Amino acid sequence: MIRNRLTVWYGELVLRKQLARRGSAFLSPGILWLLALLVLPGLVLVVVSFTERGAYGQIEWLFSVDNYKRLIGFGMLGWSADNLAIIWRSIWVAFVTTLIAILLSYPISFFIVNRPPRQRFLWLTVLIVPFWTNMVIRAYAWFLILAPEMPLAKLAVYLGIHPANTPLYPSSFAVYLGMVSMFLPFVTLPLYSSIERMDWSLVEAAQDLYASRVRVFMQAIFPQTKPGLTAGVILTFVPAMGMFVVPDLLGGSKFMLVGNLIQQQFGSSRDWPFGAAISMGLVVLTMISLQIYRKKSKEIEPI
Amino acid sequence: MTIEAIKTGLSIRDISKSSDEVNASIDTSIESQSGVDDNMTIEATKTGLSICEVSKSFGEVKALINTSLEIKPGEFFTLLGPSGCGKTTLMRIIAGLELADTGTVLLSGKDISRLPANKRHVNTVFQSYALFPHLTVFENVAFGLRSRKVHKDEINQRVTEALTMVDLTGMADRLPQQMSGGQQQRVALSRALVNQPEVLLLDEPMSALDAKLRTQVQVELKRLHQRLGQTFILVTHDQDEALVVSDRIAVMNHGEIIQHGTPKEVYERPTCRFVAEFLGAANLISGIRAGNGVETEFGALQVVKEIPWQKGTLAIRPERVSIHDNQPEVNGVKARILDVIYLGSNVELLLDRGFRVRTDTHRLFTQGEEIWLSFPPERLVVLND
Repeated sequence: MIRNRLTVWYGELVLRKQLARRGSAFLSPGILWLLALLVLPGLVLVVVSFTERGAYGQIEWLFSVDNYKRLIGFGMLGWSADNLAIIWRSIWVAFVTTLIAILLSYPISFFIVNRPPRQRFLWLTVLIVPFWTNMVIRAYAWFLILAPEMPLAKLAVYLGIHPANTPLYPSSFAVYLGMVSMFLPFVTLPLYSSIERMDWSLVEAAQDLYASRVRVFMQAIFPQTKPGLTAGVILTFVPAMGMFVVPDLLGGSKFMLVGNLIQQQFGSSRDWPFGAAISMGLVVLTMISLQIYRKKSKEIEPI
Repeated sequence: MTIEAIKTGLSIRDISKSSDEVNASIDTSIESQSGVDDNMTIEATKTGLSICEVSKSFGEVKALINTSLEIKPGEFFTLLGPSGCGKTTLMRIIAGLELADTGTVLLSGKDISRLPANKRHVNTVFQSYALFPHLTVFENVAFGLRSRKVHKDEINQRVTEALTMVDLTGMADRLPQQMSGGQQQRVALSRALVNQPEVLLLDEPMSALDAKLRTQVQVELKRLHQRLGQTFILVTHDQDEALVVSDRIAVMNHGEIIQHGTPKEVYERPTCRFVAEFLGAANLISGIRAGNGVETEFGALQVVKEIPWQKGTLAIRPERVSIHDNQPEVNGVKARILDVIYLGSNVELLLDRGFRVRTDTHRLFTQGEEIWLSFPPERLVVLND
């Protein structure tokens, strides 16, 4: 019976088999792409992370967990906290960057949502314009802004928090400045789309039910913006953990993050096995962090 | 909701005010008595809700024009009108969700015009219900009490009572999206009522319910109001709903209150065309005054009431027109039947002069048949416009 093999798919009469074949035809390029360029290299990285570096930087296929021991600080000269400090700093910088971006994004999103519809597009464009420029060029642009002759440095000198005639970089301040400006739109845009679709009658209901301002935000606004916020947090926190251009340029050699460490292993140090181990460490840390975020964001207590 | 639930659900304790509030109202009543002769009217304005000359514009659009209204405590008051008539704006001004351009709102004698919504002892049942989707039914109902930091044990007790009152006892742990529209509406109702507001505002609460459920809820709402004795203000565009539930109705159009009175008054004695036509069907007859009667295209018609105009309109409800086989003694008009519409409990006749007549007569009517109508003088309403 041909009837059993037929189905109506959103108004189109097709054979089930035909539909399945069409689906896999559309899907396979993407799957192959991910397989060849993400899954396989990832697996290679896992294997490499257990090998050893040869005398000339080549990979020696001798398997051990030495690279992971090194990662948590056990080196040839005994234990040192250097690597763990770098990892901790990376988590901290990513966390602070995400937090600042969230704090800035709420007012910005509400501001844009409250513009007349035509103006909104303009403001969103302003927000995205920096992305039309290369990331490295943008980092160099900060050099100019943070130069000793510029108002920002002069203000710092005037306030007595910075010595005269020196640029404001390299410093952790410069790194945060660069990081936040780099990732701000990744939080603002998803948050904006959540806020744009927000049901304001819930805000009115909370007001009507005697809620304080904090309570109105926590119960009527925050839960509605959570999907956008989560997208923004993931889009910011994950790449911020592995960022190396900004800390390299604006943080100097003392402000090393995991990203720089990995780049160093694959670059100047020619120690691919150790670089692979650090990368694995970063992947695991990112997953743990996101898991923590998922749990914490569910647990937020009503105020 | 069953009658038992209403009876057991709410004890007298709930409706009685706290001792402070009682003292305060005694103070104001003493004040009002001293030095004022006509203390009956003062008493009326000192309690309940008064809206004095409130206006509101949105840009070019005038949503409310110099509206004044007195709502007595314990009254079930309805703001009735077509969409865009300003009824919702007026409700939102009372709730504190909109700021009036001019005028004042007095609640129990106190000016609340500049009081923020979260400081007004007024609660709203929103049209969309606006239940918090991430909170359970219990937490939704407890929301207002938690805002005001009421003690935990009291919250438990009052929320349980409020849920019993609307027959949702077993549903406390559900989330709003797991409930039907009718159940959500009851959650919204108990979420507002649990706060024992001085005024409960209902913004088209039935609009999302199907017709059958709607009539049921209307009756329940009326019973609940009688039980609690609180002031209810309902906003609706449904005239049947307004007639069923209200103690008094204010009919609004173009930002103004056109007429207010008991359901019977506004239905039986509309003062103008708009009210006559908005509340159910009406036959309108224009004519010129001739002594104590009105000269119309159907001949001279006698009326009971005084006629305030030279040229104007009379109105009569379709069910008030009587049908005769022979020419009646007063106000008789001959008409041909164009259409007979069977409505179950009665029959509506569409006649050749634009008349509509509703009758429960068991007689058979046929298309094209000629019949005599009579407009009883006491049923003919003289409109002001």
